Amino acid sequence: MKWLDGARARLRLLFARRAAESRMNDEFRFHLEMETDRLMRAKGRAPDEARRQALAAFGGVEKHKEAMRDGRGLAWLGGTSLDVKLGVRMLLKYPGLTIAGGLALAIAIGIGAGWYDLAGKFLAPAIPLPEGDRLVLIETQNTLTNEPEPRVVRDFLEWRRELRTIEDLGAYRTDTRSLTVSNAAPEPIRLAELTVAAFGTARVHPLLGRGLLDADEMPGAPSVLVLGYDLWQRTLGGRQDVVGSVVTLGNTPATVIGVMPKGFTYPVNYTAWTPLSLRASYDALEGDAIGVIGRLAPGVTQEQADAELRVLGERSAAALPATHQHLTPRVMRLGEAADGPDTAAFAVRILPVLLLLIIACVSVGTLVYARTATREGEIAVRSALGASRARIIGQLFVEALVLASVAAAVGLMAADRAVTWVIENFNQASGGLPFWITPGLTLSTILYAAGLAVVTAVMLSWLPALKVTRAGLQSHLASRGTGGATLNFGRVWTGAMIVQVTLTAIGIPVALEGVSEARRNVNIRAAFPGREHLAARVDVDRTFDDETTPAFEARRARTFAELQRRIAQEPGVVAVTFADRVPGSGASTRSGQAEASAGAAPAYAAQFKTSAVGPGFFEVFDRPIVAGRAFHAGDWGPGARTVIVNEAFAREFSRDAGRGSPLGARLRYSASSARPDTSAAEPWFEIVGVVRDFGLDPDDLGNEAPYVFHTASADTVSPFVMSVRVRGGNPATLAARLPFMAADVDASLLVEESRSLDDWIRGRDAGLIWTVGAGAGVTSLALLLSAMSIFSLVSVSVSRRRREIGLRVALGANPRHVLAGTMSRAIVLMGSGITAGGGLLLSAVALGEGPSGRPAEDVAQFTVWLGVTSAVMLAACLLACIGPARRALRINPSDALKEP
Amino acid sequence: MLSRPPIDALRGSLDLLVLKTLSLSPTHGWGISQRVEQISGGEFEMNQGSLYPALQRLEKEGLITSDWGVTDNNRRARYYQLTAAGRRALGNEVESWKRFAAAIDLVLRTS
Repeated sequence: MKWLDGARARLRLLFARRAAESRMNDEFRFHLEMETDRLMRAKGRAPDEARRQALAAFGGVEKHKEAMRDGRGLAWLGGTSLDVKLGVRMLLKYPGLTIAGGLALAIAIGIGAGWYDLAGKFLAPAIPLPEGDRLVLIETQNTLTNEPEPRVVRDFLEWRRELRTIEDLGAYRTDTRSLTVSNAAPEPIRLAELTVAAFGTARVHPLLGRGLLDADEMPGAPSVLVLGYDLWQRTLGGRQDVVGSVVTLGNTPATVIGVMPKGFTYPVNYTAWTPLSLRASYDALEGDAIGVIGRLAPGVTQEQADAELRVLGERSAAALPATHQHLTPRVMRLGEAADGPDTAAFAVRILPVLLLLIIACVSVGTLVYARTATREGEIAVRSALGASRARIIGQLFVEALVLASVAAAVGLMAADRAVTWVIENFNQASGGLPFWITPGLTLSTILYAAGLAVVTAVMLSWLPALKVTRAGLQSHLASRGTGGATLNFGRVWTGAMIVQVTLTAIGIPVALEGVSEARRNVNIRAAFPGREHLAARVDVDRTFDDETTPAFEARRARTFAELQRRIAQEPGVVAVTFADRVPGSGASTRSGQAEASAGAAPAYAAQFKTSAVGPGFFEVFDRPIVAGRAFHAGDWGPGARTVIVNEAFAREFSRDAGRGSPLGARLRYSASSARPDTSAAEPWFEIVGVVRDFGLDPDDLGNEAPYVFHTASADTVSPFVMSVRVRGGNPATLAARLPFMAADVDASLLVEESRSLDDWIRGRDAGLIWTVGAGAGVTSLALLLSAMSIFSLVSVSVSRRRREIGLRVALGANPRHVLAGTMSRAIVLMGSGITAGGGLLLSAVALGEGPSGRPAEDVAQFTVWLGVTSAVMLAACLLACIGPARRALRINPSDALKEP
Repeated sequence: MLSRPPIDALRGSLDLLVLKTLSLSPTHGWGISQRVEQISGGEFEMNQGSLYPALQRLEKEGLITSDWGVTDNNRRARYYQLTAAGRRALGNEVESWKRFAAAIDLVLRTS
């Protein structure tokens, strides 16, 4: 077929470039040799003359080669490589634009790529296991409370018997136990107790030894343990002979039977695995919380498995209406987000980065436009020499693409580091992310960043390219002269610069407020004598099924009491107490209201921080009771409903209620929004005392947040955070010994995060400092870009008006008037942006959107910041204008007047 | 009387001349230029280099094919030959040219 032959010929010519070039050269050489021979033979010409005449008869060799290259469709390739080289030269020739513009684009593309990668890891993860997309979980939802119901051991046994669409169905339970190896400090580890089937669904072979077998989960079988790679390296030094070693898990010796490969933390984020033994039958909702995992049977879809499971769920609801009427089991892929349609997930991934990119492109676009304006003459000459409009636009696009590609590469490297940091910090702080969330950018993210670079190049280049290649360009060759520009910043670019300045004028006060607030709060917290205290999270391991809840709680209280007694005997220890959190590490917040007396109208309603504390809590931290009384033994009795509030609460109560003291007032919390159907009303609490502020939870204005303290019992408080006051000693030393002391009391005691209170406070502040610092950095970059835009504006203006300025100077104009004329547009532009930004910011603050929520105070504060911002931005504007202004004053009138 | 045809007419007829030349026998690019000059009695002296873009275009359209061969004097050369599609295209071009020439002749005869 003709078209097929033609298509094959075209493809051959397009892709076999080197062969085509070689063939062309050979053909031309042959032709010239034959013609030369003919002229020598037929016309008697000398060899040199014959060669010359042959070349003349042939016509321009290069011209014909170009025509053949054009015919192959490859001319663009040679041109593109030249454009890339030119783009790199432009980067070096305009270092200011390269650094500032490249940095802005790198930040925007980096944030976009990092966001895309993290969102993808959380919303649409790829499970890195054999056929990982066929691993599923069964989750049961209570449709009445809209919360998950994990006490499904009875249902799991039924599903394991009945389900045909899911195979290898297994159960697993999360546990934290103390692992003791030889004489090393006991270490709490996050453990998965799981059935053999659950372990086997991963289809990953151990690195050493074996995995779990059926015999391991039989009642009475010896305790065995499979170690994770990192745990094996950390606690056993990566010994190759670890299989068969005996370690202590809680109170029980356990034999290590295997080690899993690096990165294996299946089914979520576990460091070790032990078998889960289940009885033959359970009552409805009996037993601890478990997870259920399995694999879709071959050829079965998730929808089919879900349909079968729904039938079983309806059967259970009919058979057990008291417990299962509102329970709905469903099948979810491992790693699947609980809810959210694909479009929402997509929007989460895409929209924020597009907005950020548009802002960055507007900022950098003004600089690129100015750069293009200074090259108008060069482009006019290219057009005169035959370059088409498309060719020139393509050249400008490639130049912008070079800048955007370099920025994308830098942004990707930064995003990779940032994502790795976020994941590693999550893993340290929260016990670990699921195993499918790993550091390292995906190929999809890299391609996404490449796409962003192309989009950025289009946004940066299209408007300057269209303007500079407009009709009649060649007539402007006359005005090229000594570099005069005819391009001007029209309404669009002027508007874009004003928007840029406006956003900067909003960003700087917000950043200043953030820095000021962070500095103030860090200083307030640093004043607390945290060096004398240490805090540690402590818990008691509870093995599955072996204890009733009351028995476990009683054991817990006894164990904690014994540990406290031992610690109190240590030299230098002044007092020991406990609470449900470390002071100053972020308390829970609840809404509530207080009334002066029973039945009175609510006098004070707000959000309070709450904490449950043990006996002697306030004495340990030297916080005296300033009004009323401290907690006494009766406050821990059954039915007691008393609370102590802090001075901040008392101040706000007094201000709102018009009454001096909250003593005797009643407090009640708002109903929990998670359980709107709860019919039981929240109980009332009587305020019996006021305690001195801790000074560890300042609000946005630096005032301590209102606090409500409840009594806590050692048997039920969770988490159990022990606080110790040490005098004359180093809390860090005691913190290091605490796990050993706990192991002596009871091997099932788990001690986590044992460190000085100073470390707790500094850890909380570090994140705040990082966030504020990043905000300040981005704001500074925005200011730099604004200044560079102003510089570009004034530079182009001076360039355009050389003749006019020369004429004015020749006519005796005052240099000050020349300067004013040069800089007036820039100052008006900067002033417009500052006014607009300041107006918008103050309007938002006046409407109550400020940090304190009190319009008058916030407006006053931000007016001060706006004053500072205006001064800084006008100074930056004047600095940016200095260079072009000096150039304007140095224009030689006679040279300028000579220009056509 | 014109000693050579106008350059625009020759350029427009280049494809026809190439196809006709190759219909006689396969040959290389230089051979085509010589044959055109010989057959036209020296009336057509083409810009020899412009032959090659035309040959490339005709090959892309599938009207001719090419391959390496060896000349009588043992030189390596690229030989071109007509394809079946090329023969059909030649016939169409000849018919078009005859109609064009007849129309011109008719106009010129009108007094």
